[in-house]
Amino acid sequence: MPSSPRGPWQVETEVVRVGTLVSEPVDEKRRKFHEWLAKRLVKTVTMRRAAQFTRYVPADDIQNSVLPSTEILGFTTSETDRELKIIDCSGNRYGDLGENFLQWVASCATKFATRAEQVSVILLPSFPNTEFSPFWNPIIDLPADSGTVIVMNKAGDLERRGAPRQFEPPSRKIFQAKYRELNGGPGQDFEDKVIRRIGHFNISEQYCSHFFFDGSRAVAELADLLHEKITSVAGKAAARTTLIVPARTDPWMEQAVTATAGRLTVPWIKWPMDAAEIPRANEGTSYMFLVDFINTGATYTTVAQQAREAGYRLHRYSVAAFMSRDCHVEANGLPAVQAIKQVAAERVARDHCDQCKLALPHTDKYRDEFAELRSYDAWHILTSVGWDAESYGPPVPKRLRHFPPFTEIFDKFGDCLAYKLELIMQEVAPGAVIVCPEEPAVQMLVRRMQPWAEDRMVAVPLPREALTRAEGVNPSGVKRIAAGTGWGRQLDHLSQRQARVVVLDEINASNETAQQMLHILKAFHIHPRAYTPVFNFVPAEQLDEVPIRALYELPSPRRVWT
Amino acid sequence: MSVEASSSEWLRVLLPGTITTMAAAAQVSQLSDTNWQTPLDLDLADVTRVDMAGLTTLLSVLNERSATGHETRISMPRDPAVTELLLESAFPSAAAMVSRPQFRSLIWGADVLPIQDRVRLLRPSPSQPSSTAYQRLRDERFFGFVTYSFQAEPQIASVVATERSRWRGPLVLSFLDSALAHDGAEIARVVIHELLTNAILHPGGDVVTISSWVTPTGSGRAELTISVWDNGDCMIRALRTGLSAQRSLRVADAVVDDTFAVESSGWQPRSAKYAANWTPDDTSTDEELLLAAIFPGISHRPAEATPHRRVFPQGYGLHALYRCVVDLFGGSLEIRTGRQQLNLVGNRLRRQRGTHRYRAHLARLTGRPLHGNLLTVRLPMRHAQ
Repeated sequence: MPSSPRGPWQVETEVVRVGTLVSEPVDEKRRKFHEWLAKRLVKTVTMRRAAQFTRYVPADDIQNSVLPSTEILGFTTSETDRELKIIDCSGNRYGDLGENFLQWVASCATKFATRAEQVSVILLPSFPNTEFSPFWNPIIDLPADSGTVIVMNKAGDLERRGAPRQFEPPSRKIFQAKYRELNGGPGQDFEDKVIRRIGHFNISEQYCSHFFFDGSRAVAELADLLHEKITSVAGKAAARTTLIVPARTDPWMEQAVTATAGRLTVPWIKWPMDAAEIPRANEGTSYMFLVDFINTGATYTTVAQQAREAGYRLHRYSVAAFMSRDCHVEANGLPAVQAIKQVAAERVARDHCDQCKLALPHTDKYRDEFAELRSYDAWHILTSVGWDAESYGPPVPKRLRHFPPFTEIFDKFGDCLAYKLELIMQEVAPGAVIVCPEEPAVQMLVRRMQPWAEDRMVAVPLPREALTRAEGVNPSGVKRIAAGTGWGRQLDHLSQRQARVVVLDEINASNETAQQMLHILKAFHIHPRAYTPVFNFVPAEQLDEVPIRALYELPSPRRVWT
Repeated sequence: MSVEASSSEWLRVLLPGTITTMAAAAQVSQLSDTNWQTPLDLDLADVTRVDMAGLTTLLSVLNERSATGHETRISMPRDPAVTELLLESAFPSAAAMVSRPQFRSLIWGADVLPIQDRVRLLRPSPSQPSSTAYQRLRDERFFGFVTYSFQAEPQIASVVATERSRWRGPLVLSFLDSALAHDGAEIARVVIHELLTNAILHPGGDVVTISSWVTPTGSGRAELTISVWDNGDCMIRALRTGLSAQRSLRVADAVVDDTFAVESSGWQPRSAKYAANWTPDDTSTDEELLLAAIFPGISHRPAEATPHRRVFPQGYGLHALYRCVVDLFGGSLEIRTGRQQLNLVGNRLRRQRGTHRYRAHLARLTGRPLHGNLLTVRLPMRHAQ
């Protein structure tokens, strides 16, 4: 029996993703956010159907300007209920949302707002342009006896059309915080895209470092953050500032500085290596140093002192993309440094550098094409964490007594390992979907890779219990196990689209898990382009005709120890 | 007469001093069938001013001729500034790409392309420490011609994805934000996306060329030109095929009040003004079909059901494109295809809220039709770079 029109609002939600190859589970946090928003907007609600899986519009369809019928949204309607639908498109980058797609979203929303007690909410990163976007066409002309369409952006701004309905918009501040937590913001995006690369880096004449902070994938985010930082520390004076970068500056920093200077419409100059070439300072201009990495502070101190002596009016602050936590330059009376990100630099004097003693060559910061892990790095990673008994994965009797904790490893080194895995994936199957066991560590690794692939990388996690059950079962039996599960549905989509797939795991100890995963994929007629374990204890060229590309290989300890 | 036999082998076509969409191909389009069959020397000797769209029409000639095995030669301009522009914009590489099957039949006039310049074409100059985003983009050879050839679906998707990501790099955004009247991010999201998705949808195409350039327009001002050309079927013909199959070209409603005041040349429109909700039928002229192609909800493709799902073509792409170009950036849209050319600008008269008025100059040209489809947007810049 339908509830009375004065009963609670029946809420249904859908999460729409653009450009991904397959649908993904919607996480609990996002569902809670939808419920919170619905309560703020209409007070009393019942969650009739919360999105479990994303609806996706693949890139091919976007390029071909075709879209599915509005039926892909699983919304239901009744004649009498008070209904609120949320179409959440906030997990996409606004730049990926074409005008045809926006128009489609708007027409979906109006379809479910045809009578007074129906409200459709569209969540978008930004409002489409009111001057030209066809998005507004179906919404703007909604008659007063129709339902209401509400459009919200990441700032929590709210546009309402159709039936006039009293709303108390949610607090912008809280909305923004929740939105950022789910979808990220420039600060988080920068953090996600910075890579602490591992190797043997020559950072100055006296020092080596085992790590190098690479901002090359985060130029856009860095440019945004530099812009924000400069305007916050310089205020209106930013417009009369000339930016300076030291002579030896990484190319990604130069790009970010050029972009920032362009947006501020201020010039930038490169500080010469040779003090004799220092140009004359302009009177009435204040200068601000922007530095890629302040490690010992020696270079920064030299150039800032040179500038001061040459009569440059320096700003109170300089800005560094990265700065070593143990570096303090304020005591020199030079401009204080505002760092975008403080890091542990772990530099070592050349005389004490183990890698120099082993005569290991320096790593090229810009052309590191060696995707695999060097032995030095692999063992550094494995010995920098406390080993414990294997706590998940194979059945209990098969587990190892001493096992590296991969969650901790990926927490510490995940960016670099993900970077290396991605180099391999780019080589064997660009744009591939990842299939991996449903285990915490490996999923953490996938999450590290996602921001680099413009958030379009999708993973299909296979539960351990399904891997075991499917073992030795024929294809139709595997399909029965998969029926009704999220992963089964994902594999079905991949199979229909003949998508490229790579199988990923943190460690291959005995081929067992790998073979279980390949067996399931075979039932769906999916032949992966590669199997990529981070550590491989069973070195080989291929497994069941799938090429193996591991980051590090060594013969199986499991066979020795059990 | 600018067409003459310079030797027994090559028929020289002396191109005019200014290369624009209208002027460049006009000369070639007037060639008789017999002359078209002979090896042609497209002589740029007298050229002093070029426009990217004009140069692109030459690419369409090269592509059309190479597909039928006709030899074409290009003689470089005498003006060193124009030669420099051709080199910097990678026009020679684009010419080689579009002539691909007949690469050897494309010959550069002797002694006009020094060897070091040919090397330079293959390897972009290293990035200098330039201080402005514009200069840096020029150093990195961002502007100029980029040609893609495609055979299969994934390649098509990657053409659009590659260009869209190229146009939203931080330096490009910084340049666009400071140079254009509005948010530079809309160029990648709307202009580049719609120009390219339109190009790859034309049946029969396998090459698409995108070019961009900053051109001074006098009195210290400049404009950013972006042209996209594909060698697919003429977009008018695709619509005509739909009409012949007794199919309505309207796939969705046009709930907008856009009106187009038509200025015609070489044909007679049925009305001085067209509204965006007008739907052409089989009595419509080619010029009317070209105009309707940009209307919202008009498409040559029917809705279709695949084994897995039903999909619907969307007809709002070119509509969003012209509105974005004209209304947001104050620019213009030009479409050259077949024997037709459309130039669309905003109407200077103040418009009422919700209504958008445009002036559409629609010309019917004579001679050989242009091979493929060429769409060009011109966006005024706030200041010369």
